[in-house]
Amino acid sequence: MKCFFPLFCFTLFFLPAQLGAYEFSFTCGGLGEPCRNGERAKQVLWKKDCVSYYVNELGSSQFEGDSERFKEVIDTSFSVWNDAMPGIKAELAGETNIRESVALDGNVITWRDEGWPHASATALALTIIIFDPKTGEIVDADIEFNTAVHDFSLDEESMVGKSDFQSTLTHEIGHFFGLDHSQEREATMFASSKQGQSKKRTLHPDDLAGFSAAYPDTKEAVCDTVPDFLRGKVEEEGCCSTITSKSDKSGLILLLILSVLLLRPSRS
Amino acid sequence: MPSKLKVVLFTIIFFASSTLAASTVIKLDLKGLLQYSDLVVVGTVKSKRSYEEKGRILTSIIVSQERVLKGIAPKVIEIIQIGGKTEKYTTYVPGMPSFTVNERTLLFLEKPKNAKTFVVTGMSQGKFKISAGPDGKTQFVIPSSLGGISLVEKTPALPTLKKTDVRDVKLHEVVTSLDALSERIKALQE
Repeated sequence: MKCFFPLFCFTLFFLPAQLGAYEFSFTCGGLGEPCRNGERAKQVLWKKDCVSYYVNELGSSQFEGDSERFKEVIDTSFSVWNDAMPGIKAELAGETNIRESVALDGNVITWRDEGWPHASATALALTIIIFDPKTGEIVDADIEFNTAVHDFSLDEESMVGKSDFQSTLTHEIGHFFGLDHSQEREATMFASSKQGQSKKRTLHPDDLAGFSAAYPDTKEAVCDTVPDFLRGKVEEEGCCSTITSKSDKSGLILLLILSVLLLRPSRS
Repeated sequence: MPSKLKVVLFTIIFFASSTLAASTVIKLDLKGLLQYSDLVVVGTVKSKRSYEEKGRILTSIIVSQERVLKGIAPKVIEIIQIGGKTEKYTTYVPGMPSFTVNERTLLFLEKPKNAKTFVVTGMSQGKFKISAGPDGKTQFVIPSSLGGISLVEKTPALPTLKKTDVRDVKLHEVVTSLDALSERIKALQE
């Protein structure tokens, strides 16, 4: 009996980590907006194999003269997640001149050199995800970097007084995929870090477990999931495959048809 | 595709959706909050309104201030932040402080460059709820949940206090009396 108590404590201490400390984002409840009467919390995640993203072509003055390395870092940050699970993939769709992230205008990775108007200057980066509250399906996600106030570094050698761009982006991409903060202190998705640290460039087993639980498909992701009814818009604008929802679209299509009829120019 | 239709298409999908955001923010203790804030006020939330601007969902919060602990504050203060809630859709932004009409609050506020309105310093780190204690008189400051924000400890660290004060370290973990915290804020500015 004497050795039972230490063993019990040891098990209690290590069990949560073994079960997985990762967290998902939900449509309501938890730390966010409370669920209304009768509302059920749904997990927030992409419901397609391939997610396109655009990179702001204007770049940041912080990385002038280093644009190739800059693109390489973005690519590597996404690859860390892409390589972890075959069930979902984020694919670079091209460059955009959109400086501000705009809802439902494609998933954009952007930086704000000239101002950071609607959040605290102490924020280094922000991931904004738009989702369907009924299903939890993500329909758009943007990542913004506050380059107006904070200095970022691409390389570990020049990190004094700066934040590691790759670590920050890798963490934000976790949110981009619908993951919340993990309770595991060593995880990339843990909610706290020290400036200049680069350990979040790679994924911890807890991040992998969370990602795997969110997107358990084992089949290879296919990067062509643009719904037919939006294909015209996509081809015309050279846009990406972000405006999509696989469920409960009948009402939306009906509204679209009504809108077309209402907006049709009159013959008189 | 006609531009009107594009607008309608965008609006329909936009209003049927919710927004969630997560952010990476510098970790702030009391001294850090004061350092980054233009204003520190005690006030009551009078109204809040969410709207769409250039494709983004924003919320305007009007606060009537009753006590200024730092800066020169107008009687009525407007805060504008990303995210919000309208009749047609819900927007949830983890890390952004949430406000309730008629709520009494202690706010650390910063004015973004070229802006006329304010944002909360350090996101939810800079907003505290004020409630009366069991005696109905003593006012207590209750920290907000810091869920949804990823905190980065700045290095080199912010200027340290002359004497390490455990109350500043625990600012976001413990309930403090409003009078005691006000005194700390005043003392740190001297």
